[in-house]
Amino acid sequence: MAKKTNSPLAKARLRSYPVWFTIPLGLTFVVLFLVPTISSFYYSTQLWTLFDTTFVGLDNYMMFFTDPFMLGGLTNTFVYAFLTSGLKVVLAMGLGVLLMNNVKFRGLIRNIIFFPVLVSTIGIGITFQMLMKPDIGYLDTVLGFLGFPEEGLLGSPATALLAVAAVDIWKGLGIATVIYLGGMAAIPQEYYEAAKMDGVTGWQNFWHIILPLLRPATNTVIVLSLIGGLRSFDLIWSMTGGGPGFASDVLASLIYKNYSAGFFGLSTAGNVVMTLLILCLIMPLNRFLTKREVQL
Amino acid sequence: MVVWGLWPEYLVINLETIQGWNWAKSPISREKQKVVVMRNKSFARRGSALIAGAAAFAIVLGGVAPAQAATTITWLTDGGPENTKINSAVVAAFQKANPGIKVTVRIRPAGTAADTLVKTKLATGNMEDVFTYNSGALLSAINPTKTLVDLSKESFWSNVYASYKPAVSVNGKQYGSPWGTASGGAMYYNIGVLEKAGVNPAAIKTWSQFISAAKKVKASGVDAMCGAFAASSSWTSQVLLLADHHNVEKDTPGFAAKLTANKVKYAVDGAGLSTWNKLEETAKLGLYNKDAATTSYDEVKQRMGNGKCGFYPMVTWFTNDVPAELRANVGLIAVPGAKSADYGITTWMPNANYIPAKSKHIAEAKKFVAFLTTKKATDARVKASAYTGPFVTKDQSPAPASAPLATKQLATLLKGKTTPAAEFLSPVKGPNLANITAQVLTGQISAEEGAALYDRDNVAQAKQLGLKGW
Repeated sequence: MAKKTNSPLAKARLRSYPVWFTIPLGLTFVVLFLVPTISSFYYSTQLWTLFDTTFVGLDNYMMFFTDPFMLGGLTNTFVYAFLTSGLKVVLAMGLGVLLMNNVKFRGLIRNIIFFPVLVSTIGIGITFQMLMKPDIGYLDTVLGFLGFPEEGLLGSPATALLAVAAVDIWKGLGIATVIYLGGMAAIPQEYYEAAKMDGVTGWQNFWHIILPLLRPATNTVIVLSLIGGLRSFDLIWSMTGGGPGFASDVLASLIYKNYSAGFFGLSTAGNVVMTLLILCLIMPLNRFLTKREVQL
Repeated sequence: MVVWGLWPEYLVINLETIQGWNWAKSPISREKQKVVVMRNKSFARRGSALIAGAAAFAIVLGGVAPAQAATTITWLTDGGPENTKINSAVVAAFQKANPGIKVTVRIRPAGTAADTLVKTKLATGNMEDVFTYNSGALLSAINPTKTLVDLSKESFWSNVYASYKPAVSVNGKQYGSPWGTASGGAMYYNIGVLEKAGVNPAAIKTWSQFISAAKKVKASGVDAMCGAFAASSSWTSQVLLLADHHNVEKDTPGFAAKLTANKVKYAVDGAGLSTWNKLEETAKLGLYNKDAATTSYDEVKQRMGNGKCGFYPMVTWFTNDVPAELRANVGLIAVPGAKSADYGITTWMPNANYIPAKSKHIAEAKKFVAFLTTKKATDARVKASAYTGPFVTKDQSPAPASAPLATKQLATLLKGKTTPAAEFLSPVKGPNLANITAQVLTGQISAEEGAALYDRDNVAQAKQLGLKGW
């Protein structure tokens, strides 16, 4: 019997579920993700019309990088990603700490914060487009008193991207807060009790117990929201379409415009660049962040 | 349903034969496993019964129903209230004339979303049997020689003016049948606003006269021009430039042909740059509504009718877009150029209906697109909506006496000096034109910068089309 269980085959036989169970998901992954990803490297080197392809080498990449709107789009992408990611971390952590305590209307506040997560992004985009409309939008009326541009937040090239980023933060806060609440629930009570014995203040409690032990949650929020911000498209497209002009264009919207112009090879090259960019940014960041995590 | 009834049993049998499957270690108890197996088997029985029933039913149907059941073809076309009326009217007329064919209308979006949809559908072979799309420059980008059915030899061409043919021609073959009426790139005005400001629109024959008229309107306290550069309507920001093409061709004859051959650039040609300067001038003088960057085309329909602004550059399909009760409030002139002697209008050919090569009902689809060029169809169109301008068919429905002022003014302008819009003369039309013009119109960049950016954009387009000399 002992001999039997030691062989790898027997070990496999003892597993509750056979490896076959992974086939449906594995197949989906290969067909819908792996094959398109690999073939995109091929198509990015082609002049690709609807039915035929001509090899053009790295011309598409050259064209993508020399696009006059490329630099602005790249800058906007980083501004958008780091701004939304950073503010989501700070705000969601604050809300998480607040909601762990026994504040009044805790359930209600939790629901209000989580609600935007349930609404479709396009729906949110159209709603805020109306709210920020000059003369008739409520939000714009309020902001108008504070001296914001009279052509509206979305109509001014200076504020259009920031206005979309603000809506993105509002929309993504729910998920980030839930991650923090989960992280806080995982901190054992003993730490607080021990600290209480030592007579720490609320601020010390936060700074020396909650913050370090929340690092896994913080890392998750940072990585998820940064990836989301770097490839964000739907909200920007529904609120400004990259405009006015190109003022709020990001990488994804530039790529989409190339695609809808029929430049399929060029837009594929753009997507390859974006994938590599996100990989090069997130992988080292992830490694750096996990290194600093502490064991509970 | 049938499939649902069958596959569970298939799955269960497989589970039982899997070697590694350890029943004892499974988190599901043996009793429950049995129940699952049994339930699945009963499902399977029900499934087989369903199949048998369905097969029997199909046999009965096949025996009773005669082979002449109506063929249904699908038609992907423009939406919106007026188009919906037109679509159902012409479909009804067609079905009356061809009882064997039914047409199902499907609506597609406008602008760049339409380009994306049409290209994707053609590339994946999911296109409807007939679809409405632009004629002119955009046609060559959908690769008609491979994706569309050649309509050159169809008999309906005897009823279509030859001047329309180039708009749907690629390599000497015609791929589309005309749909809609000819339009012009006009400068609309609100009659009441101009009267109040003391401006006589009929006297505007040059660009400088237009600018002084616009200044007068602004001084009277009304937005001199309507602008709609919001995300959903960004396409409208290029209209002033496109509608000015008549003047560009007057100043530099053969401009569009030279553009195709890469022998002229907007930024270096005097006429090309002057058209961009017009955009910058209107923006610098603050002629537009201050919320132009977030205003949509739909809002302008109301504003022009209600006299919220003086002028609006738009292609003349706008007449029919102004709410019917406000339509009498607007009139139009051509976009004026440098010399009053050259005063004339830039023309747009009607859109076209195309048949994808992969359609399974090409014969029926051909009947349908041919029908849409007949007098029966144009009559149905006018009756359902309104007369919006001349058709390009010889036996066309005449303009009714009750046609709105703007429509009559268009007819007069079309009899004068005309030039086809650039997109009917050259396949080179950079995809970012609307955004670049929006940048100039919102004062982010200068006319020179805009023209230079558009020249670069044209390079991208020409290279993707594989044109010679780029």
